[in-house]
Amino acid sequence: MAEPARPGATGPGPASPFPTASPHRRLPGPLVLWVGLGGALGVLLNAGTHALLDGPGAALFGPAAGSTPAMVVANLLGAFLLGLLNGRARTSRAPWDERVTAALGTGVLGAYTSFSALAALLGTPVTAALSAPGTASAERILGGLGAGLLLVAAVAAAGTLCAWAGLRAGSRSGAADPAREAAR
Amino acid sequence: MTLLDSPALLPATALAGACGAMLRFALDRWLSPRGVLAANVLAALVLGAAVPLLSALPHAPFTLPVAATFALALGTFSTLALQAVDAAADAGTRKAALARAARIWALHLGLGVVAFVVGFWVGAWALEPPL
Repeated sequence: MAEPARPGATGPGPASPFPTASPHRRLPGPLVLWVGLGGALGVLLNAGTHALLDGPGAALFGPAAGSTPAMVVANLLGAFLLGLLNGRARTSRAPWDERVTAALGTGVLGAYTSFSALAALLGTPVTAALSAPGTASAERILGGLGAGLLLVAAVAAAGTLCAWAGLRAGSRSGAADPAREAAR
Repeated sequence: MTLLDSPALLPATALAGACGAMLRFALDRWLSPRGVLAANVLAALVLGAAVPLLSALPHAPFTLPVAATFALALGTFSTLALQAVDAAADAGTRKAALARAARIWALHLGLGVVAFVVGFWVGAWALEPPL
């Protein structure tokens, strides 16, 4: 998971406790391995989500591959959980172990959700026309693009709302942590 | 092909997922604060190129899911959603917040679609380059 804001970064948002910032931008080997471990688990969980919603025989790729509803569910759930994790970590009094945030956030949740599927959803009407010129009319391509655009815009808006809801829930539960309250 | 069809597919997809996530982590470190954008665009490019290229090559039922899984792990939706939330949080008004969030999504999705189409074109071209 790449973080929205980090020490030294110019992007907006509060400082993130997640381990992506480094003034030297060196890659700490052990942390990379934790991210890899999380990534492996994340894609398997994604396949599990597709199997759950599409049936155990769901193909990993191809025309019969994971349905759009399964992709949407995985993306929205992943956005909420990442918000929750960030909310907890940002409000936590004690800094979180970098290995935990790297494996769970960057690894599992980053890999569980899919951006490329959204790009493919929008790009496929164009590539279909490229691969079979003359068979698809401009109207059909534009129609496919329009439908894809509506769906992608809705998923993006819902994903942002889910991340916001997760962040709020995580911040509240972090603030309500008894250890944190006692320290005040 | 499903995960149940080939015993090798499960470890191969897990490995592809690990590699994708590690590359995203590295890009985020090296190209901060544009690392996630680079990872998402690259993921769309890889998926776009893999579709025509690997479909036409032997062992497509195995290689295509592995490549698609690599792209799945390289790109990320959840971090992008959180970036949009963080960008909106700093805006003074609701209108400005919506505009900031929309700008982030438009940038990633716009470049992502272009990358997917370019990748597809490159993949198709690699199979049948014009003489």
